[in-house]
Amino acid sequence: MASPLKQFTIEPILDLSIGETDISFTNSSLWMVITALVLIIFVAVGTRRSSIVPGRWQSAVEYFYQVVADMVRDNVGSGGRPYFPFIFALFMFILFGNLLGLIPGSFTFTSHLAVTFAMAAFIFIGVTLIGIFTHGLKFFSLFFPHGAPIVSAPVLIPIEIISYFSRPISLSVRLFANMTVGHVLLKVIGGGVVALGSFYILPGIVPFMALVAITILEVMIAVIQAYVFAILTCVYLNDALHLH
Amino acid sequence: MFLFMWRVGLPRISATLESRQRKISDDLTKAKELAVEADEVLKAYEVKLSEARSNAQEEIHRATALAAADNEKRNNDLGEKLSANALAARERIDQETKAATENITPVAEEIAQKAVEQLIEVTPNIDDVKLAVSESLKERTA
Repeated sequence: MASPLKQFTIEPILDLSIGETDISFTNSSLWMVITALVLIIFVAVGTRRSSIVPGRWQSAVEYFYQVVADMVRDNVGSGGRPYFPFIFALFMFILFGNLLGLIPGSFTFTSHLAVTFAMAAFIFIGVTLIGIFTHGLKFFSLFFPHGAPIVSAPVLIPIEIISYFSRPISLSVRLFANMTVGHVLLKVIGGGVVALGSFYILPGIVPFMALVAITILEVMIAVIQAYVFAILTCVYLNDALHLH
Repeated sequence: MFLFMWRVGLPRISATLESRQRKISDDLTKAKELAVEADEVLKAYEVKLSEARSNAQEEIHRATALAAADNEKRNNDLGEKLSANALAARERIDQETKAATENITPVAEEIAQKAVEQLIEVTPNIDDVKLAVSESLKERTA
């Protein structure tokens, strides 16, 4: 059985470089492009003949729209409306990336810390800039909880700063870890099904049933992690817009 | 992908949802208006129905009164007619009785005279016989 980690190997499809920097088009890049295209097709087809009484496809697209719209409204308020397209695109990109990654033979780009951290860092920097542009220097009052006694500032401010700067790490590691562990687990149990099933059919049934259950669980995790990533982005955005 | 979502996909979905919401709101408003209109029509119908029932009751009372008056008039007319007929019949009976009495008197006088002659072998005076028969007939016809 191949190593469970082999599925995460980045393989260049088109070797490209700028000077010393490797910018090769890889299998990860390919699946990001595929995900973006599938997402564009999904939304384009769903909104092609927008009618008052929606079909199944249109209903699905509108359902995702409503979910993200409710998420942004509940967590950011009306101030989050300008950022709704970004949150929607982010949620759908991660969701479709996670789900497409579950197709056997595909590549799960969200199982790479480089990808998830790039997204998290972009969000972190963007949210911080939004906070600074919105509130100016008052934005830094975010690092001192409102109503806390002033004498606690030497303790609280470093904690808040560490907490704040750990946001992109926790955001990226959460998604990366869930996706990686899930796919490793699927690979290990899948290997067990093949190994035991080739010996006798009956012993292979138990790990096969476990594989089915884990696959269902992974589908749920794919959806939940996309939702968590998007909702935490909303929470960070809300902090930047409304401070504490 | 983001640009497509921002500029194409989301505005389309948003427009569709807004038009659907507008359509639902319009339909709800129209439904409320129609409900109010239906209530008004129902109230008008009930008023008309009530008036019609009231008119029908009045017509029934009027017709009943007319029929009763007509019946009474017919009864009275019939009573009068029957009374007149009865009176006329009475008069005819009296006339016939009188005529019959007048016709029977000579026969009765003759029979009475003959009967006396047969019973006591005496011929009574004709004037006495006439007087006796006349009084006897008067008693009977009284």
